[in-house]
Amino acid sequence: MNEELQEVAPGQSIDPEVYGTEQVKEHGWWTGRAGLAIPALMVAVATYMLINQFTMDVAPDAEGPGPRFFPGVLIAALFVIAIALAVDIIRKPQSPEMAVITDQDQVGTVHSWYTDWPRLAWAVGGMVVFIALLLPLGWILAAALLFWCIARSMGSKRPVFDITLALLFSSAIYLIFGVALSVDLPSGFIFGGGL
Amino acid sequence: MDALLSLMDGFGSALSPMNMLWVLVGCLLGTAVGVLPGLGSSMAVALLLPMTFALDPTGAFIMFAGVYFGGLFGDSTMAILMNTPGQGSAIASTFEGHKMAKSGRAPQALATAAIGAFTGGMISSILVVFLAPALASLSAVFGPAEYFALALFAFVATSSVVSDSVLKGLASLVLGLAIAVVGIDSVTGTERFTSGVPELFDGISLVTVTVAVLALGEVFRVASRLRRDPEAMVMVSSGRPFLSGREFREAIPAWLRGAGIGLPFGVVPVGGSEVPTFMAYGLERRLDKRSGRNKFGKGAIRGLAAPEAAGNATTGTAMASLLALGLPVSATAAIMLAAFQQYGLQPGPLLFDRAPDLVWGLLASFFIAMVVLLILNLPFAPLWAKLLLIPKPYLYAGITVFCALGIYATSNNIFDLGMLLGIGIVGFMMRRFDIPLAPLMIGMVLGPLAESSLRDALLSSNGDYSILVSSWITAILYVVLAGVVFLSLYGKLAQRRKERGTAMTDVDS
Repeated sequence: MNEELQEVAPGQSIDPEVYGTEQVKEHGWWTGRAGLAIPALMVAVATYMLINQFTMDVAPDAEGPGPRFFPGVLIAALFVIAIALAVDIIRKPQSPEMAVITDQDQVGTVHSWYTDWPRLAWAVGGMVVFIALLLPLGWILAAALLFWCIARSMGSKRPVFDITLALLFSSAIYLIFGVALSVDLPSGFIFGGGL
Repeated sequence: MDALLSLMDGFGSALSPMNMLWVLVGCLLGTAVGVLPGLGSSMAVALLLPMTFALDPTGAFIMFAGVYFGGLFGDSTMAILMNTPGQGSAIASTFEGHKMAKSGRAPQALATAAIGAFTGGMISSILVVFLAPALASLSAVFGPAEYFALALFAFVATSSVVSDSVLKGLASLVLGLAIAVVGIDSVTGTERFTSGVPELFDGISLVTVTVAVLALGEVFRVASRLRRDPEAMVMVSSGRPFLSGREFREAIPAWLRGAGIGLPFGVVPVGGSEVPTFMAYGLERRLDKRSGRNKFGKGAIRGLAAPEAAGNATTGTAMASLLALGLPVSATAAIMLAAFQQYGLQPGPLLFDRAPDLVWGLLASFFIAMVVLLILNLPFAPLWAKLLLIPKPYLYAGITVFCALGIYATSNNIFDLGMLLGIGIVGFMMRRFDIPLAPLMIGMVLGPLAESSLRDALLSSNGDYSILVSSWITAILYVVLAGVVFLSLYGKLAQRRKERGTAMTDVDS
């Protein structure tokens, strides 16, 4: 459904018609427990910090609470809160709020995941490619590629037109920021004149 | 009187044609970013930070003032027209504001919001002019223990009061604090958690984290859901664009009450203006019920006027605590702090002596920005909504390229772009699993202050923890903090009981 601007007369309601809610497949025990990713992230961070606590180069003559003191408190807090959060999620699975269906054709479709993974992969992948290619290709081409990938991840259906738009956009930024405001943007060592 | 004279000087420097142009540009850009879905005023400041490198400090901060308040105006425009608040502070405005728009009174709602924001902002700016120097001299009696108490206050308040689940709020907070300890320790010069990567010696930049969490995370979230969850359409309605005399009279007390509620919250670090906007909304609602008018739920003008005034009053006084204490109470203020540091300036008591023309120029530009925004928004607010006609793919593609530009321009290396992506993915996860973002930002911002003041306090007392509660200022802070936590827990319990109650009656009926 496309977004549109709509005129509303006083007293008129513009709520769209609702045909039902989005259906997502169940994933056994993991249903509503995918949020465990957050405690997992916290434990990973805490573990990294804990290892670094021991390898840290601390000057021996330091007085009072040293550089390990505050991180130590944080590591403990990270572990405790991660465990509490995990217990909470395991006891009470939390499913995300499902979208309402306003398009009749969508009724009855069962998605396998709540997250639209292919689309997300385009967005994240675009960023990865941009980072990898920024220096070799230069700002104009790399940023145009990023623009194109993100537009695609958002469901743009005109890939050829997008290429033109993307190049126009990245070139305009290069001209405004790189040339006029002298921000240091890479010109690329393949096409541009060196570094 | 001193303050007035200095302010006049400030107006003198801010009113130069070039600086007027920067205010105008700032207001336009700020409103434009604020209007975009999912992006609020803190994002506007972060995204536009690299643009200011080409300016001198005074010009840059004058433009920031425009961006800052412009972002707030844009936020509330979207909250009203689309029910998509860009930032927590605009949520309370959606309740009655969006209902007004739905019933065809969108222009009146936008005017109410614009005038409310103007009222709140003006009152608080006037207060800041007189308050900031006094606050600066008061801060001379603040020692490490007091600063630690303030930081702790901010941590507890944001993670417990503002978020729905205390556990999730705390999780977000400690992740933010963990990000903040990376880098060379300011006290001893020890390398911490850098794994020897030179780019991490200065710590992870606040701008990177802000852009990653607030903008890139949002882009990823939208990409992951756009096919299933197309957002609501925008409303533009024609007709009488201004408030009638009766509506105006009805809104006046709410504007003033809202501003009154908002003012003190700017100096108390509870994580920005979410709390006061909700409090202002709640007060108007109770007053409405008691007077028997029962307009709430059907688009009550007061329910919109009060939170708007409260929100802007808070943001105004928040600048006082940033300038005078060097204490950023919201994410936006934190990014402005980073901008100050980029120019080699340290906000705090000394700033008023060291860079008076900059401080007073900035304060004067607040007033100018308010007036410019009122002129821009009162007649043209519906025009801003037309920005949403930009197709979503190109809108978000443009935002993403801007994020990348901003980070590369501030850091000039690829490593920071990698950080941007990594933290952006964390930001996406947090949105996906309903973890509030505000505590992470506050933790990241105030973490270094909390750590250094705690260590200083303990160092001076030889490890005796009682120093943390020994002065009357800290005692007051902790008592107030206990009160705030108690009230919020009580409120949550009461709400839960009520929900259970209504659930039961639903089953019965």
